[in-house]
Amino acid sequence: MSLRTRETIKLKLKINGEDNCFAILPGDRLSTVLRREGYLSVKTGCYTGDCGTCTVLLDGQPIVSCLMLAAQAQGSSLTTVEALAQGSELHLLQKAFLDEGAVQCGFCTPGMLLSALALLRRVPHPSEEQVREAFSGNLCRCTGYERPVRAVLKAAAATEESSK
Amino acid sequence: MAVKVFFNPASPQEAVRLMYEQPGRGAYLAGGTDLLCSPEWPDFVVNIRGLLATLAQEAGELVIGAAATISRIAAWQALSEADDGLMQSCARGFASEQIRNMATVGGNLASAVPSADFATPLLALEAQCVIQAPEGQRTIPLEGFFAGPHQSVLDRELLLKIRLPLPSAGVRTEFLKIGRNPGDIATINVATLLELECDKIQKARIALGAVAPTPIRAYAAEEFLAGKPASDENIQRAADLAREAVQPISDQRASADYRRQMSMVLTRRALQRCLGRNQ
Repeated sequence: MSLRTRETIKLKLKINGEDNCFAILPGDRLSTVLRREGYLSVKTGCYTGDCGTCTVLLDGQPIVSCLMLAAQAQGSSLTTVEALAQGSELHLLQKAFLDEGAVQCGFCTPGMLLSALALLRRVPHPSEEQVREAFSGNLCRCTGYERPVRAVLKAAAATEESSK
Repeated sequence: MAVKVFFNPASPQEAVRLMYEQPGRGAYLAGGTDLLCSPEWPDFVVNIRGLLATLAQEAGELVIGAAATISRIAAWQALSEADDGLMQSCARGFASEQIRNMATVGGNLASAVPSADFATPLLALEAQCVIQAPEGQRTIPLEGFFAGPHQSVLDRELLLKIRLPLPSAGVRTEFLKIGRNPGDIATINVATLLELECDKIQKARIALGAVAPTPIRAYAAEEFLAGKPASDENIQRAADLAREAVQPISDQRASADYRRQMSMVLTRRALQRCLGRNQ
C-alpha cells in the first residue's frame, strides 16, 4: 500500500442539530472546516489551545476546535453559538452578556458563551468561583472577566426565576 | 507541512501495523493537544481517539485506557475512592476544561515532558504500562517508561493502557504543584502516597516532576520512611532526601536552585498533608 496523497475525506457531522456532509482534507483542523463552512462565530486566535476563542461543544463538552483534526469529529454532534438564539430571540446568556456590558471587542465572546452554556447545563446555579474556573480556558484581554462572570451569574439567577 | 493521510484503524493491532508499514513519518493521534501544537506535523496520522478509552475495574487493579481523557479519569469514582483523590486533585489543575476534555493520559505520558502532571501521581501509584508492539504486548513499570526529555521507550509502539494496582485501604495521597496560575504547566510537581498503621509509616511513595530529565521517584526518601514513626523530624529527613534525588535545570520558569529547594518544601508539605497536618 503506498501513501495516498491528500485524499479528500467525506465528513459527516451534526452541527446545531442539522446533518452536514463536507469534503475535507486529512490535515484540516476542525476550526478551519467550521469557518470555511460559514460558522464564523468560531474564531481562531492561537492554534495552541491557549486562547479558547475556537471553543465549540463536541457532544456537549467544550473543546478547542483548533487542536482537533476535522476527520476525528466524524459522526459527532457539534454546537456553535449560532445555535443559541431562536430566530430573533436571544438566549438568556446572550441577553445577560448584553445587559451586563460583558462584550467589548467581542472576539472571545462566542467561546465564553459556549463555556458558560456547558457550565450551566452541568451546574445550573454555579458559584462565582465555578464560573471563573469555567472561563479559565477562555482568554479575554478587554473585560477583565468581571462583567462576563456577572453575566453568567445573572443568567443562572434568571433561569431560577423563570423555573419557579 | 501537512498531514497527507488520516487512518482510522479498527483495533490497536491495526494501528501499530499501520505505523510500522506506512511510508513517511507517522504519529498516533488521540487528544491532539500536543501533536497539533507542534511546529512539524507528521505525514500521516493514526487516529486512536475513542479506540482505547475504556476505564475498567479488574481483579485487584484499575485499568485506564491510554486514550481516556483527563476529564473522564477525574470523574471516575472507583479511582478517586481507591487513590484518596490523587488523580482527581491532579486533574483539577490540568490546563483548562477544554483541554481536559481532549487531552488523554496516554498522550500526557507518551509525550514524556519532564513536567507532565499525570506522570507523578501515576509513579506514586506504581502504574504499569501495557504496550502494543507488532509482535505482541508487553508490560513495563512506568518508572522504566521515560528515557529523557520528550523521549519515552516507545519506538513506533503504542501505549495501550495503564494498570494501577489497588492501593491498600486507608491510603493517604497528595498532589502539589507550583505554577504561575492553577492551570499552568508545572514549574515543579510532587505526588506522595502513605500507607499508615498506628501512626507508623508502612509504605511511602514520592514522585517529583520538572526537576530532572524525566519524572522521578525519590527512592532513598521512600526507603527511609518505611517502618518509621510519622514524626515531623522523619518527614523533614525524607524531604531532605528528596532534594538530593533531583537534578533540575534552570529555565524561563525557575532556577535550578529554586527547584531544588522547592523539591524539599513540596515533598514535606505533601507528606504532612497526607498525615492530615495542614502546612
